[in-house]
Amino acid sequence: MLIGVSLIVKVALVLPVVALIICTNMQAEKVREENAFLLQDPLERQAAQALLSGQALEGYNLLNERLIVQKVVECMQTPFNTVALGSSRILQLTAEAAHGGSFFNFGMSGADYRDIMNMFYLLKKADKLPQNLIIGLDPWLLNPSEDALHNFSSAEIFSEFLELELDYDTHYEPPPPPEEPPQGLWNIAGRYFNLARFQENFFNPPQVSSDENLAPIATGDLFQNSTELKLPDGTALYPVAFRNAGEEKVAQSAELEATTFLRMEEYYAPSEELCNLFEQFCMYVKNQGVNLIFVLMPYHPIVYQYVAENRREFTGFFLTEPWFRQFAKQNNIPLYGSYDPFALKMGFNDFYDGLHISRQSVPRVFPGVQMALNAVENGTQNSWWPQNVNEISVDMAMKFLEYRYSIEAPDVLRRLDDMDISGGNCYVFGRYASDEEGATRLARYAVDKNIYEMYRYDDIVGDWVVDRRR
Amino acid sequence: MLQVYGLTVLFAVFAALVNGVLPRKVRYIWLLVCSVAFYLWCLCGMPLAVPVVFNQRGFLGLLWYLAPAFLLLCIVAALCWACGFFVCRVQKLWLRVLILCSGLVFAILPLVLRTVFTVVFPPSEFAQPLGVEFYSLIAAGYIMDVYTRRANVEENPARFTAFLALFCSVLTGPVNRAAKLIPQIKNPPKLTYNKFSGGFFRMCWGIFKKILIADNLAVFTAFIMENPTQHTAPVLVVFLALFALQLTCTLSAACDIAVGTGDMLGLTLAENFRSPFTARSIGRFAKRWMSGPARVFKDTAAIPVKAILPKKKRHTRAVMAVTWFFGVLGLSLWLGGTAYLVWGLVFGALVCASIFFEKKRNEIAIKVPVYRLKAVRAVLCRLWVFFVFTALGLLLAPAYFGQPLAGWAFRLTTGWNTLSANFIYERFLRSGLTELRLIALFAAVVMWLVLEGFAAVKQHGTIANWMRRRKIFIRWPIYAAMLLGCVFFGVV
Repeated sequence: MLIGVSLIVKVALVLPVVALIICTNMQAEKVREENAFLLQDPLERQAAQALLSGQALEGYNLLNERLIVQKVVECMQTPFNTVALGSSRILQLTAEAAHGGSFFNFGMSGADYRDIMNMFYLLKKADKLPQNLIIGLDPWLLNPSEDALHNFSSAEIFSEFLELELDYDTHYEPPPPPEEPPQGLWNIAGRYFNLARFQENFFNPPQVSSDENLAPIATGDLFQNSTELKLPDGTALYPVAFRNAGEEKVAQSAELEATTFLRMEEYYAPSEELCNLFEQFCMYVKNQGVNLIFVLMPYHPIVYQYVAENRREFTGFFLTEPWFRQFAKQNNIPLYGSYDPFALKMGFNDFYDGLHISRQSVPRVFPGVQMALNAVENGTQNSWWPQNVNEISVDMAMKFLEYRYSIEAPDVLRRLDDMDISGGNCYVFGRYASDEEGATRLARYAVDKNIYEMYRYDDIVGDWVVDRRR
Repeated sequence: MLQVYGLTVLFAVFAALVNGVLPRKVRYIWLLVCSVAFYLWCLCGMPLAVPVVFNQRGFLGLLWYLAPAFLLLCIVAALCWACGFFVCRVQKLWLRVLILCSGLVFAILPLVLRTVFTVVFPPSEFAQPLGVEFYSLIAAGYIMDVYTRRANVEENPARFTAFLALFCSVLTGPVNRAAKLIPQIKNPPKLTYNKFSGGFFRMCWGIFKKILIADNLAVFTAFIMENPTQHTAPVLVVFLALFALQLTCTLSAACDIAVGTGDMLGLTLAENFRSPFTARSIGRFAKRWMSGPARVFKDTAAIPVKAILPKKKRHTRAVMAVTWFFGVLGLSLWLGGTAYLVWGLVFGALVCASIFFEKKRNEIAIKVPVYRLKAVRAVLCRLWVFFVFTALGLLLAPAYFGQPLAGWAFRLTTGWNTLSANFIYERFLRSGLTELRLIALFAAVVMWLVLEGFAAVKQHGTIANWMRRRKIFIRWPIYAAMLLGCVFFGVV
């Protein structure tokens, strides 16, 4: 009996050493796990935390924006009421314009359909789904070409989403599940009773890594920014010089962008596969209980006019908007805006460049989440669809001509009587110009109201001739 | 490594506790079960672990994986038992010699067939037999002891197998002789608390020496042996001394662990390694250093030698010297095959000469005044033993001792101007030992030398006996120092 007691006492005296070993290892592992989290993409994680805490980031165009928005999803404590997805063309949709409660714009430059679906999936995985989802629909979303995809959109996340959520067979292999922390005293003891690790952890204990301030936080007057900023609502604020470039410079920029129409090369029709995928995605979103809203941001008039002039090369583009509209109508999804700036009565001064509408012009495209939801309730979600989508206004036609022919004061275009040219109803303008011999003559120009074709009256030929840029 | 030792301690304690509560008549069965379980556990550790094999091939696949090694050893055990059984029942000399020779052949079969086994049953597919060196020697020793009637034949195959495959000694020794061990297995002595706790302490003492002293010294010696030519003479001399210390610690630790485990089981095992570097002659050194295996070879050589000599001359010093020569030669072959043959021949000759001329040497020693002084004689003898053993080992048994002396000889004469404590200390730090670890190592070595010195001086035989006699306020600080030393500074 005494021997037994003696033995028990001796064993008990060893227990503090065992406990020291286990506790040291447990503490060190905890610090290492914390460090692993802190040290994983530290810049992007800090950037995300800065945005969530109400700070803006500068030089945003130089950062990995896809990773930053993923970190925002990881770091956010509560879901946002309203979330916007899409490319940089949606990035001017601010919280004020959205009128949708707490708001974050998860738009990414050049976002393709994978980016949009990936972001929604990540929000779902993190259990941070919003109530309302605004998707900025770009025309390349239904373009099957590889060129329509962004290099940085994650194929792995997309594959996981398709496999796990939409039941596609993508041969996706999930990563091995993380090791479960041991349960029970015996398992904990077995895992942490490691003497090699104990010695390392005791003599060189891991320190909690201190966060250096890596994220480029913007300070001062944000609206006098010289670099691109990411604001706390997720929107992009372009440099002040870019925003205030003036119509002339914007028009020049639009000219250039028109000739390299983003991701529209060899796009002849929306892909049936992508249309089906888009439909499945929208049903999936709705099944999660999320209100879906579509927004089509317009192109600069110069860009749209160029595309319209060369519509045979961009048939896919002109088929995309009608498909989206039809889909939205069939599925009772509010859709706002249009690719056609003329339909929205947008002018040259409503844009920053050929692709991006200005911040202050966004409310003219999208009235806000509340109105959209009310419209759905009242069954009037079609009321904001623009009428006469294909008719150009006289002001816009004049604008085109002034730009095309560099007509400035004191020269002025005067409106003449409308007439039919080549079967199309056209606005006709005239201006007095001096010829090579110094004689003053009336130069006449016409713009087709529906297809934006431009004509010039050739005195030598004695007829109207099509005047197209190449 | 420390965790392996920890598991071994737990296993040994569990086996000893259950052994203690079982009736004495069935304890040998428990010993057999433990030995089989321990052996299978070790078998499965190399090269493929049990869970891997089990997951890949299932239960039957696991049995198939273990079967060849296990069956080989079972067959050897059966054959050796049978030889032992018949050798003492047969009367005709030629038949007895034939059975003896057959038994010895069967005993060393696993050693001889090891290479063949690896080819026929490749390591990637089958477990390789472990511990065959000691297994073979113990079996050979049994057959010889039964033949020479030093030990009684063991008629119970299970008891014989428990003796042969005793888990304390099957992998690292000691080589137990049947005359000493089988009676203990047959009639286990009463297990006392003192013996149990003494054995437990001795086992822990062995682990302490191994992981705190030997393994930390190995960090330094390995660093020197990586590129010995870049180190100066003082460093090399320090290396030689520390290497001998490391070797002593390693071998004595293995002995302590095995003997300590035996004590916990109530068995007194052979002492294989008894402070050889305290020996005053080469002959005595050989009797203390790996004496178990050497004695088996010595006894094997003694059989034909004594057979051809008349009875009066069988126990002379010359016979002892010659048999010890063969003992050391056999030991060298057993350690490393033909690679150590030259070392075995040279060292064996030295041992033979030392034993043969011991009387003459003592007569000469008395005549040299300085040599009469006990302390001087003690130091000189030990230095000589150390030098001979280490130098021969480095020159002739490089694989065992790490690096041949060739190339060092010149360096041992140069660089003495760099001799300084700081220089040596800096070398220790460069080897990877931290300051704290060095202090712990130094303290552990002092503790080892002091405690084992006390035990030897007080003639209690072993440190365990010495410790059991100490008061609690001496014992427990030593236990605490050992435990904390191993936990914080043991090489794991």
